[in-house]
Amino acid sequence: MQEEQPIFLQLAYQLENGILSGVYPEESQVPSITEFSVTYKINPATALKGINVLVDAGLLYKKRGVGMFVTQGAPQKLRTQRRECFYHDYIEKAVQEAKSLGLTADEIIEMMRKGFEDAN
Amino acid sequence: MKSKSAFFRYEFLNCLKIFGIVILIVAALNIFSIIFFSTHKEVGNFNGYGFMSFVFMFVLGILATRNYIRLGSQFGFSRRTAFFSSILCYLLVSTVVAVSGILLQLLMGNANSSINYADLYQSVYRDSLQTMQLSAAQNLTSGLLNLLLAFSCSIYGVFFAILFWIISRKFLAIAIAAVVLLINLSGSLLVRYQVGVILLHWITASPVNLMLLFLIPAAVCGVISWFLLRHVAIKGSSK
Amino acid sequence: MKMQIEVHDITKRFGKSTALDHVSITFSGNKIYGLLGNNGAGKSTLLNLMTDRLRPTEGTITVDGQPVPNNDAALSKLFCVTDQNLFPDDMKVRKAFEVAKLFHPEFDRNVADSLAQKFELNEKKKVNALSTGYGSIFRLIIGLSINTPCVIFDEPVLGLDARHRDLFYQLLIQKYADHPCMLIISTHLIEEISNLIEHSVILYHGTVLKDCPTEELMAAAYSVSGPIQLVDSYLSGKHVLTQKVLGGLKTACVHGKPANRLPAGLELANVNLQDYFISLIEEEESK
Repeated sequence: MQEEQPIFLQLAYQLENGILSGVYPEESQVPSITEFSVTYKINPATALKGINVLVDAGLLYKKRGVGMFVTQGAPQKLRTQRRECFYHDYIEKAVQEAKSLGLTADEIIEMMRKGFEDAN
Repeated sequence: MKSKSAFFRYEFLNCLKIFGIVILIVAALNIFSIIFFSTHKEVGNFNGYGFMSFVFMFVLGILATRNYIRLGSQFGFSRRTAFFSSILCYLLVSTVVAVSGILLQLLMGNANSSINYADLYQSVYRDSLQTMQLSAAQNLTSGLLNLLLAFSCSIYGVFFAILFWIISRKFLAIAIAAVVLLINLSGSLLVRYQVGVILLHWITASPVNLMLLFLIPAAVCGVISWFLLRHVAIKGSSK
Repeated sequence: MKMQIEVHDITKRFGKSTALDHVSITFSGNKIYGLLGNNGAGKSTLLNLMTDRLRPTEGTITVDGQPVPNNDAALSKLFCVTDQNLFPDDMKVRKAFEVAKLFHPEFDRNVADSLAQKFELNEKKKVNALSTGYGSIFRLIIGLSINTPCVIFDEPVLGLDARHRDLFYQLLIQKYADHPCMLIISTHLIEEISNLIEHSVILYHGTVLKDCPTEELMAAAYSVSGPIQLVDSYLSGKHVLTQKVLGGLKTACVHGKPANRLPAGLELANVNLQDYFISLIEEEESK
């Protein structure tokens, strides 16, 4: 979680991660607002706000009287979204930091390769 | 309101439970005395019931009142509700106490002739050694006397409970000293200026006078208590 | 109808000292309110006045429009848990639960029993035989099971160990979700409940310092850090709450919203409720 963000955005981010990683598959039910607020010890209104971020983005949908479900195609949608943000959120920052440390572009690319290999 | 009557019921049953223990002890003592004195020729004399009930109601007023106000406050019953329901409760308990007294008296009067069972009423208004069997009306008067005196004593208890609740520890000692002094002073006044004799005559003239002697100060104490209660900070007794 | 408690221009003096000085607050609707303030700020006094355990020197308090003194209808809508034990000393926990059910038919005995089990509270014990911690737990359990329109907790977690604190907060939210009601939590432990409370009231020396949604409070300030000279030039003309210097680095808490672009070399951060609270108090104290 990103520490400095408002709590409802942190919750939204966590939920998105869950959908991306397959913890909450398509058409499956996500925990209720009460469950989220009890687990994270946050106000239910805040939890609702966090969940509504995903509802507004079309990633979750409501079944009346049953609960919240993951929309068909939500993971793909998220992946596209996150890819668009990837450059701004990660690359720009990495480059900035690399410059202040005196690293060259080649050196970073080499590190990236190593990172991918290590992850496997 | 439904829960208000529940609150009153709780108070009443709580008092009855305490009284139940007391009456059991009294009854046991009486039975013991019957067995013990029946083997003797001399005449025993028991007239402690009335006095016991006055002390009982006084102590009840002191101990129970704060509990009821506290518990009431915890569950959303106002000071007014707690105060007046307590007083109504004490009146009802006094009645139970007095009726139990009459029953005990009837029982004892018939059970054994070697014990002279006499209560306050007989001691003051009848020659207790002569008339053991009371008429129905006399029994009723005796009961009423016990009832009203016991009830008055409970109000005195309420008064002290609330008075000692609002005054700080420093003033508590002063207040107790003042009460002791007042009792002593009025006692010595009664002795010195023949007031005592006049008062005694007045009291013995009619049971109504004795009732008034207790009820009027009780009324005053009750009113003062109600006004004092406004200033009480309702706090717990311990942790 | 929405639950409403109105504290109107309340002053409470104890002898020469003034505990509350012309305080006006409106609590409204099924929200979780935080009544925040240091020790001695007047939180407990305010709660005791709301439940008519104390009488104000001046001012009135109403519940749904009805003044609280001598008013059962108003008072029975509130249930206030404090560190004070108002139960008779020799009453057993089980009996206290029975009595609660008797006086408040909405009291849920099953919930109370299950909570007693979760907290390992022995129902056979007498109230005055409980340890300080379990005394609090006993009263918290009644507060969590009573279902009055408004439940007030005064310093609820004081004397509870870490595990029980956690459990209490979870149960509190569960209760709030199951039976929406007005909750007022008074505490000086702000960090623990800052994500819980929807609306914050901050008391300071008997006066209301802030009374607004918690979200607004969190957004009311930001922190800036960087080299001393840079920070100083940035701060000129701004409403600075507090500043700290560590080596050549300065961190300042600033009131308001930051401009879109900060001068290069400065770092921007959000201020959490606890830090903002401390900044506010420190600013007041330096006045």
